[in-house]
Amino acid sequence: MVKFILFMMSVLFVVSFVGFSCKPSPIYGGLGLIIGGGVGCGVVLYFGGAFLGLMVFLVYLGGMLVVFGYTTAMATEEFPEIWMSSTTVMGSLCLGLLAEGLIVVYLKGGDEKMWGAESLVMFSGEEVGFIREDYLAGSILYSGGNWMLLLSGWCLFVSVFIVMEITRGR
Amino acid sequence: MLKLIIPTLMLIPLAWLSNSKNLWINTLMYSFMLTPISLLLLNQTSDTSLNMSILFFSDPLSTPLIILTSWLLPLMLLASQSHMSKESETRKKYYITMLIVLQLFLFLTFSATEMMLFYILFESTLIPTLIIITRWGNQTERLNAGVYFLFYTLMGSLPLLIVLIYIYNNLGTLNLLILPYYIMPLPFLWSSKLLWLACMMAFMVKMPLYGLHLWLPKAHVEAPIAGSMVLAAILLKLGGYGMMRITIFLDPITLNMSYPFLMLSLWGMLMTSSICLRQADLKSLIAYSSVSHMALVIVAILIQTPWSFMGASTLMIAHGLTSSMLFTLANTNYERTHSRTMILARGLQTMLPVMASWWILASLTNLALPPTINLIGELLIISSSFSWSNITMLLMGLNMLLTASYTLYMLIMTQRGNVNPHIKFVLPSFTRENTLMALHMLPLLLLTLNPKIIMGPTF
Amino acid sequence: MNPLASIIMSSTLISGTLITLISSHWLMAWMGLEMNMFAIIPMIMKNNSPRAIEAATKYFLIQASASMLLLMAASLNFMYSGQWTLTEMNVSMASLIMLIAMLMKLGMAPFHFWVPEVTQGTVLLTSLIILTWQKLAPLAILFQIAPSINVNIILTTAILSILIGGWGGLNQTQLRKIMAYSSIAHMGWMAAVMIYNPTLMLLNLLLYLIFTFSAFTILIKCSSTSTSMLTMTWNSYPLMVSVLLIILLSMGGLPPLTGFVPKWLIIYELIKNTNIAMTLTMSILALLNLFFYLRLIYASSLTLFPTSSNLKFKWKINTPNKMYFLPTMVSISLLFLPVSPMILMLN
Repeated sequence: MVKFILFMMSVLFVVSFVGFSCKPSPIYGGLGLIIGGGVGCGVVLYFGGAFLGLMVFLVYLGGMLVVFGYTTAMATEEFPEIWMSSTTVMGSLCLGLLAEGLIVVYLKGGDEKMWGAESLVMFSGEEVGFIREDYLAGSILYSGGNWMLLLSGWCLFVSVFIVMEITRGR
Repeated sequence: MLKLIIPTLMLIPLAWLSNSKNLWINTLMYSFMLTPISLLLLNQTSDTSLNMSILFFSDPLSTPLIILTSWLLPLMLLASQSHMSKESETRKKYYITMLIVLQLFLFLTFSATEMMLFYILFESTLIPTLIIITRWGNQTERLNAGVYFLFYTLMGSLPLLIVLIYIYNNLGTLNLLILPYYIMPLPFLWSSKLLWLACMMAFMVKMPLYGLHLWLPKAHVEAPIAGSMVLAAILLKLGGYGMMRITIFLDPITLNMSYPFLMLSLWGMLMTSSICLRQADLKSLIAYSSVSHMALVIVAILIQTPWSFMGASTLMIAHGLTSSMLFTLANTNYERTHSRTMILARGLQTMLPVMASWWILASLTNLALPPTINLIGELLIISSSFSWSNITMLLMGLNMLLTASYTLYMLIMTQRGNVNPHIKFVLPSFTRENTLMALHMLPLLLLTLNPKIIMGPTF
Repeated sequence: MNPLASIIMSSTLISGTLITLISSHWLMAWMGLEMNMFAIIPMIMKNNSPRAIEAATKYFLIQASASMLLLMAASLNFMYSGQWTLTEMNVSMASLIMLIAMLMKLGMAPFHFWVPEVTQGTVLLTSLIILTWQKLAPLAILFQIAPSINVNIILTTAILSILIGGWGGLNQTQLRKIMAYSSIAHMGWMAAVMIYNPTLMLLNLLLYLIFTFSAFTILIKCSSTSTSMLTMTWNSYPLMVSVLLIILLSMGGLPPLTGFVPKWLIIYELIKNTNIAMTLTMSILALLNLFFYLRLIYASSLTLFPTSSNLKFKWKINTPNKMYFLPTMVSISLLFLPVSPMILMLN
């Protein structure tokens, strides 16, 4: 069963690559990138890189593709019309929140620990406990790799300036 | 040796700090005063050489050349006064600085002990000469002349650099005082031949050897008078001096390797003398006559007998003075007619009789009249080449005939006959010019009385 | 450029090279090189002409691919030897790829095609930085991996660079391209001696930096970018022409000027390692370089071209271009040769 899911995910991966490399209009290309990214994260997750998959999903899809999507949307339609009437928007927002709260109450009906999320990070036995490798890396980035982090942050900061300088003054 | 180096170096601030009235006078006087100091080097105490320090020495080969170098600086300054009179003061000072720097480098070159130091200074004489030729020459061809001069010499001397470093790696030293005790005979391999060629090519180009002489007519003709003087008198002798020094590394394959160059020199001597008979340009004629005399010197050095070395060093000094004098005479013509063509300046004996007597004396020394030192040099060379091979007597005799022919051709063309009707205005000879000729001629004549000082190390 | 952006770019440029110089981990060295590269891109594009944009693009593409090769070589080294130290490059394949990456960064043959075009495409000051400061970091890396460099590749590259640097510069009249080809040739000399005596490479680098810096300073002061513009300097700055003569002859390697010192010592090292034929070829090819320097000298110092003004005392408003340390550098290029025995003693 797991192998089948993995197979389907890799097929979707390849299909999405084909989809954006045939250079469609940006919106469909962006769609291909999103699907490819998401499915790729799934593949990584199946092979045990939980932290990596999570980070790519959050940072890449959540951060960069959102920025890309917004800039594309702004480029195609600079002055967007209104979405719908505000009553409809407000209503669907409240409905969504209510549904989420109901799910939380339903899940909390069980009696074990909340979320069971510690098992993602720590494995604890009687005397020994150790932290999962990829979450450990996150904390080492800030402690032992402080110089590298600083430089990377500086580089990213400078790259913003550079892009501004390069694209200025046409 | 510092007693010569420091005063020469100090001539440069003298030139820059003199005011324009006293510029030529100051530099001339002080460079004249330096010359007797170089005569002190004639006091050769030890059996082989006079060793001043680990860096500088002087032996009977280099001493006459050093004296000639320091004698030539005041002569160059005397000769340049006329054509530099219209330049701005800064440019005059640059010119004089170039001459002084050249004199300094030449001086250090002839007295260097270490062959690497010799090489560096040998190359460094190129820069002031290049600047003098290209900056103050008179025709557009001077640019080409500078390029030819620089690149012919550098192409020849880069293999010399590499070979010197190779020898340094093998023998451990390049000091001329120690080398005679360290050298080993060269094996008979191909690489030895390449080593021989690399050593000799730099000096062959400088001498110049007949096939590599293309730079010389260009450089001599396009240079201003001081440039021509120093080129003819000293810079060519750098080649001869270098060859004499470097042949100690190169036994015993010199016996075989020198054949092509001997042939080329003997043939070239005849060729260039013949070309002289067909020249229309006066300076070009004197330049080709330099090639011819230097070919004799090459023959002498490559034969490597004691008499030939004596002949070579004598002829180098004699030719230096003679050739420099001929260039000065040609320059007096040039300053009056602004042309180097011989037929434009004919019959000068009627207009400038004193100069005619200098012309006659110079021509007589050029064709090696007895008892001048030119003859002594040529005689020694002819005798020693006869001992090397009898047939060279024919070639040498033919050369003497051709030398006499073109010298007399030059003399008769410029001095005798009717005055050229195109000449309108010829200034009489200046005292400066007469002084210049006298100062050239006096050493030549006086050395006839005591030639042993210029006869080199094998006397 | 906006002064704040300019300060950020310059400080990133400087700190990038310094980070590469002080690092002992390959990732740090890579980061420094990347910082260097992208800080100089807006500096190249400062004047916004299409040629500047093209120059910046070419520079970026070459340097980025070279950085990627560097990263791959470092990862290969880690895979087979398990450590990231800069000086311990023991895997021969990784050392080879690293060498290629650094040759691309330095602009040595056969990866030299970007150097003339990038140098020409931008202002004199930026091309000075490209030809001098940008060479420091890759040469520092090569200095540290010198024991493991593949000898055949680097000697081939050296000879090719000297040949191409000399031959390519012969047909140029634009001064920035001439300096670019001169840089290619000098890099060839540095590469040739790197495997035998890396300290001599540093000496050659130091002297090359001094000469290039002085030459560019003169060009900036006289604001001349082509040979024909150089012919007018005798009228405006008469002393500069003599100084230019000294610097160009020194770059050509003529004794007794200091440009002879690196050539002499490099020839000495190569001959000690019995490499005589290559040494002869290198020194004769260096004469090609001397030819186009001599042509520049002819145009500026040794001939007097007719200029716009023949006045003896010319009214001239002093341009704000500064001469950075020019007298010091000229003194060094003129007189350093007698001091050079001390360098040998230090080695």
